[in-house]
Amino acid sequence: MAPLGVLAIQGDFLEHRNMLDSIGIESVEVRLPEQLENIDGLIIPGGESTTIVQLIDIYEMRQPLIEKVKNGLAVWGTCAGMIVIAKHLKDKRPDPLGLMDIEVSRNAFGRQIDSFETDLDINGIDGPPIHAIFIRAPLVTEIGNGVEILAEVGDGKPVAVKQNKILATSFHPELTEDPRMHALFANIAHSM
Amino acid sequence: MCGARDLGEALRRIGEGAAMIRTKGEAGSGNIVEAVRHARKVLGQISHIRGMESDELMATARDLKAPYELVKGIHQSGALPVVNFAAGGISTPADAALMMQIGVDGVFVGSGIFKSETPQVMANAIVKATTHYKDPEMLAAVSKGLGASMPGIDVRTLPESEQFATRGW
Repeated sequence: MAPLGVLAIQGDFLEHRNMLDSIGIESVEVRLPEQLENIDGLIIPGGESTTIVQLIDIYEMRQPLIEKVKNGLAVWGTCAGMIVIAKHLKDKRPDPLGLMDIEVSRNAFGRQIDSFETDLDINGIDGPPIHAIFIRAPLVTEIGNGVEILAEVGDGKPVAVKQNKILATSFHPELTEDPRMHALFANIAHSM
Repeated sequence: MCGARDLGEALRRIGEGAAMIRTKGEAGSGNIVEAVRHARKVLGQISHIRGMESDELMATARDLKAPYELVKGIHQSGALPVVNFAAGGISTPADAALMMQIGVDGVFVGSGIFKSETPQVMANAIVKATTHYKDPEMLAAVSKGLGASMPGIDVRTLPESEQFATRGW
């Protein structure tokens, strides 16, 4: 079993690592293409999606990452990370990696003042609802074949989706005290 | 967001609601000495509190003139409860990496970029040095071909009235 990688070029990678630590899951920071070797999964954290995509290209990680995902690397994008892994965006920038067959709208809930917290029932997670923090969050506006909706807000807006070993959430589980989303991703990543 | 030169200042600002702390440094000087001094001071005081017995915390809060609950939090976590970044005098990729190695969460660079010979090149290099601060080969690579950095000022030659670090107090 290999550790999980956390993309550590911008955004709240430290919070993800602390959460993984808290449930005894080994993780490494990924800043260069060669660090994509020998990991079972990659978390792309919340942050600023244009900056993250620019730095992925500057460090020449785009193609290696796409190849790794084709060969079964699990990926989880939270907030900005969801934008980074989408196939299409409603906006002109950034140029996403296209790892998951979804269309995403950035800042879909509005500006910073419209950020909010709510409790979500998530398909695949037992027990009480997950407390979800949405910070200028993106939203999935279209899903392709084989994309499963794990959670919605309001009248059917998907905020957690899964396609094979790829997971995307509009919200930030790493900012709570609840490690269940991280445990879910670790299970996906460490499964064959 | 507030500039701090020691832990007492940082914790009072956090107590007032600051969401980020910058260790103050000497803005516009191109001289890293003050930034190092302030960051070492804050981080050194944090590790000192971390190693204390819990019955020493109240007296420490009194001496620092800092909220007791925040001192207690540092005793437990070993870190400020908000982001702590370095600023004031960072003018090269090596300066940025040095501050990250000392233990801050990030850096802020203003005139170090804008007063350098080739600001865009310098900005790119400082971003890379901050991300890859543990990677000596990357630091050496990004430090090449930058042109001249901003001219540094020896802080000791500045009259106190011109030093930012003493303003506002």
